Amino acid sequence: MIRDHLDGLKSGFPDCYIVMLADISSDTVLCVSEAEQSLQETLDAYCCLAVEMLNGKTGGVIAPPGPEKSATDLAVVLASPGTMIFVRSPSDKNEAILSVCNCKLDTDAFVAAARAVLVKMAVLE
Amino acid sequence: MLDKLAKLGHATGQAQGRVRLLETAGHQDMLVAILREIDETILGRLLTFESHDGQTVGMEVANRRILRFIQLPSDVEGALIDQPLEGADGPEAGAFHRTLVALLKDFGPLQVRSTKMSRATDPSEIGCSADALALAWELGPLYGAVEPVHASAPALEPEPTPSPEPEPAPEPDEFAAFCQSRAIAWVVFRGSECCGQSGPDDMVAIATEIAGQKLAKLDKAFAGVGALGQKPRCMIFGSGAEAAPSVVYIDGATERTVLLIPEQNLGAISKRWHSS
Repeated sequence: MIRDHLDGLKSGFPDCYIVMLADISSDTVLCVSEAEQSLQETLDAYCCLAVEMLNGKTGGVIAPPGPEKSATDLAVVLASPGTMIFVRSPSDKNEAILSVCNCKLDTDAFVAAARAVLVKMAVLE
Repeated sequence: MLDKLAKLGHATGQAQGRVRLLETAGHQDMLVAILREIDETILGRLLTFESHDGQTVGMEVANRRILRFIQLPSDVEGALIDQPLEGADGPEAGAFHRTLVALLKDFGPLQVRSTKMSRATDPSEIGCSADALALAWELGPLYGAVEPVHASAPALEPEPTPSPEPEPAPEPDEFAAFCQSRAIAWVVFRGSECCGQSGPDDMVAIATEIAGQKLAKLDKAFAGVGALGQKPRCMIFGSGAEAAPSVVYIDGATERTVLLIPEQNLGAISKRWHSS
């Protein structure tokens, strides 16, 4: 089940506080795996930021250059207290995994694992 | 998406109900607290609110919206039961308001119980959002100064996300120099003035165009995530395509640096940021 996949991803990366699945076409958090329950508005704020970075004006104007301008499929925010990672599904452009982590996270490994989980969840549907 | 939510309603496996006590300083605050409970319910759940004298209001809630009432005090608005609730301006919403006011007439704490719905939600069920009801009932924004007090079941209280330990902010200049050493092209702007650039002209032009964008909506979104959104910060935008470089946007207090960097440098940049 979807929750199991998110739990599995989170347990593989102890430096993650929150791993959630969101529908970024409608700004909706669909499912959350977290150590301690967060306020819904806190999760909504992460979702809102992810939507802006992947789908919004920001995602449009800062889309990585290429032969054809690519969609932003990955957004990472490095800040002093930690890292936020937003990974769009390779299978369903409207879904993304959103994660809030501490400074020790292995970013490359997490992004690869998140993409793999998104593919698995797409197969489930 | 409603299909997905319906599936998720059956996927989480939370079979056991959750009970807690909702207590506020006044009637209006209690109405807000009730609507917050609804607003924070994403998956299909049966929410019941029971007063200290045993009066109960029960409703099906999903995707932050009330779908229908399944239990009401016997002496009030019984005709509402099993009627779909659509919109905050209809007679059903008005009757719901009167029902809650009646429930709270002998003001006291409410016991809130959340259990899994016994049926799958139907995508055709629109329901009515808590936000819309708050607006229609002139309660103001749901998330303002009013803080409900959950007097029992502390383990079930929503708690703030554990904040990572604050660390000294990295030195942006040193970090920027590290990124520049790995970049295909980069530009540095202070206000509207370009104070440094390097790389092929076409790539510098792309970086310059990005640096010139006003990102007011992004700043607003960052304001919602607390310390994680504060400057200095570094944003990385990738496409997942091997051939396309990632965009790295270092947003400092006075300068912004935009770099085009091969995506395989993501891990190194992340480590460098947090070790600076």
